[in-house]
Amino acid sequence: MNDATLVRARGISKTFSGVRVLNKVDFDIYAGEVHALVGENGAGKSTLVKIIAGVHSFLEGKLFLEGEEVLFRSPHAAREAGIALIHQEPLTFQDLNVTENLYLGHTRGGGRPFINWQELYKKTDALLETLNVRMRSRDPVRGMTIADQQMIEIASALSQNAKVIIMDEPTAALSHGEVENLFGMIRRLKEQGKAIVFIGHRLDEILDISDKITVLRDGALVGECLRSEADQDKIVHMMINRSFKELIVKETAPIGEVLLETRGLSLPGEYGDVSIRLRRGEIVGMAGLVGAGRSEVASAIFGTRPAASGEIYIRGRKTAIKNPAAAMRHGIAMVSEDRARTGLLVAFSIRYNITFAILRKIASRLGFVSTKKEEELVSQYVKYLNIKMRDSDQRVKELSGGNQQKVVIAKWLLTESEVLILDEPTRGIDVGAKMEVYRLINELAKQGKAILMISSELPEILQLSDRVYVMCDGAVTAEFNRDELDGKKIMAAASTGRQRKAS
Amino acid sequence: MNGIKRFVNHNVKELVTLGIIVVIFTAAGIAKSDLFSSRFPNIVNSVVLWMPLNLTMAMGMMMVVIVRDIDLSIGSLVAFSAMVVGILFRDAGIPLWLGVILCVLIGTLCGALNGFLVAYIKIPAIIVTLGTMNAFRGFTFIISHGTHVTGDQMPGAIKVPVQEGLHLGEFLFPWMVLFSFAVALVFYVMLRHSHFGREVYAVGSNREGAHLRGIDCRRIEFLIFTIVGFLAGITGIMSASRFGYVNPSNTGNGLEFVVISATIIGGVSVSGGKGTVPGVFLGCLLLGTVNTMIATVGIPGTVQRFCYGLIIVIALLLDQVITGNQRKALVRAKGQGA
Repeated sequence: MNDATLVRARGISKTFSGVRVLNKVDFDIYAGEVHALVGENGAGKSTLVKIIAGVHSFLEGKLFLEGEEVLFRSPHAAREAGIALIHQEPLTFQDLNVTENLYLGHTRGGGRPFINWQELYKKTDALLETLNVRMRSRDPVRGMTIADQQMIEIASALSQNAKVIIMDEPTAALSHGEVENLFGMIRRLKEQGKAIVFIGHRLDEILDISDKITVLRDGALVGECLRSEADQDKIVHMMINRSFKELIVKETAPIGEVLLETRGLSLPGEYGDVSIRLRRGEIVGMAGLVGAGRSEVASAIFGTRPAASGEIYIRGRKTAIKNPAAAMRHGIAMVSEDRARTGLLVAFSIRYNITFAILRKIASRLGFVSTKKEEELVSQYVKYLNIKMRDSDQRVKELSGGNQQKVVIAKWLLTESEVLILDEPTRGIDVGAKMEVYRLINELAKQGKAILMISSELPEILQLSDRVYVMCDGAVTAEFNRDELDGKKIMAAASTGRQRKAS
Repeated sequence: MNGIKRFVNHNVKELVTLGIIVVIFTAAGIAKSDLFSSRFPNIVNSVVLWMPLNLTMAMGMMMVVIVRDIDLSIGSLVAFSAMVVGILFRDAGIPLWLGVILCVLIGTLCGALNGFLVAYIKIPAIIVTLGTMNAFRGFTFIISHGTHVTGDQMPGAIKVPVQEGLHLGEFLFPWMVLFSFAVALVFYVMLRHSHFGREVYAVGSNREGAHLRGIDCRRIEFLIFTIVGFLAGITGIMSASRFGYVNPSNTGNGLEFVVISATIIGGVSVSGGKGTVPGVFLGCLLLGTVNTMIATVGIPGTVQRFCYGLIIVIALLLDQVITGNQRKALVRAKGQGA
């Protein structure tokens, strides 16, 4: 056994309500090493780290910490032993300040009933300083970015002398700069001899940060390789048994008349003079950096936050869209970026979510919903979209990200909208589900819908779009047709500010 | 300058409440010219005398609301604990000190029952306390056979905390009022500086997160309802002292609504995680002021309740507007920063 081995997991298996999600997985964590864990959603990554971090108790398999067999009965016990899990959504307390967030749950001890705040504030400031994080001990957490909240969680783990820090998809909601910052932090922690486990979906990031990569597929270990022996193709192949280039296939659809056009949409402070056109059967990509104003333009078209000035034309007719209900009446649908918050009622069933937007259509004249009709429609779409579920009464919360996204898409397909706005449609979903989403987007275009696809993933934009708008600082800085698409030109237009607008 | 700005920003809710109190006092002073001269000590006395029961209960209610629960049973629990002890005073002739202990004990046990049902059986608090609100009130009627216990049937010393107190010039602060201020002080220290207090805010702010940080959320919830029961016991004996009788239908009647209003006016957020003791204290002071002034300026009895409700709604509206503006300012500041 290597001296630096902190955690050794042997033969870990886990079964959730009859489904085996992990099957005899071995996993080692070494000090001073970044160990990436990759695999599709549902491959068992999160389950594995949750077992190591004490969130799930387990019965099959053995867990060793520094050579001694351990069994964590709670996340608290694991933290005390030096294993901290940083969740995908930071588990911070919005109403408390930085220090309170940092020390919550481990202020007890020493037998004193009261907290010595002065001492804690001092300790916190010292810690934040060593981490090179620009926040202060008394800052309120409400209003902080996800990135800052992650830093608080990391600092919290360090304040408890964590030896192993496990990060579950930490970059999912971060901008490019924030990811750089996080990676800087990870490298510093590595130098201090901490062990990092990193779960991620973006392969370029994985290859950038990790020393070792372990791939899981369907709950089983596929393999482990060193960074030096890995490349994107190899990892994708391990993950899905298919190569990278087969992932995104563009199918051409006949392009028809203009379905939606905006003229000079403006909202001071967010975007200005945005004029775009969407045609029938066309997939229009919208590229740009996070914060360029793309989602805000989408909100204007969908009526969640109307523009201050400018016009929207639907099928050539000038239309005022003051709220989402009006947008839906005019056949516009939107799959939002933050599906858990704005796209889904996660605590409700799949069926309820799918038919939510069209209850009127399947209701009888007296306003009662026909269960039979509902069930027929739902099963039809579940099959069409290949949603993996137990039954349609399963709660959406229990589904993987990819399947959740499919439920959202199903909801909008049922409304038979002609214009679809997809805001980061593949964010946080795995490679397999991505392929299905791409297939759907192609299919929808073929059916004659106009699609506006906002995406920060360049390969998506390049492969799928018929035409691309690029936004930067709230303005459309460039427009490219499919034959003139080029990654470098798009990046240039997205980052160098307002350029001459291509015709 | 920056310090003042920060203080204002951090205490907007409290300052607004204070502002409304000043406005009401001024308006009443204009309506009744003798208000700030000869009658002032009387007015102040009746404002502060309105507070002890509500303030004591509000300390518990604010914790309940911070963890996103509600307790509707407090009025009935006050009546029940006071009635048991009142009957024991009358029929068994127990000494006052024993009565106080028993009253608090009964309250605590009943509160623990609420807490057990909410935290461990996981029935929503609004359902549990709606049930126990009726159950406690029903028990009060059963044990009293519908009759009340009068002041002369209770030990004479019970009136002392209301009638005597700290004299500051012409002003009288009865012992009971000072006692409730002390209770508020204890809760201030507890919520701000104890582990338990911080954990209460944490559970209200992000329950799942608190659980993953090793906080026993169910225990916290159970303890909160138990503490509310404890305070209801104290309030029960205070009620007997304050009003000089215990009546199965009057005692504690509507207390839950007054206390919830005071809590929310005081800036405790129904969405959890937020609220301070000074804010709730001012919320109680505001309601006490409203109550006193409505009677003082001679608004007819039939209209009083309407005015009372109106002022509560205005206070809440103002609060909404101000926090809304604050949020917008925050968003703007962030927009500029990006």
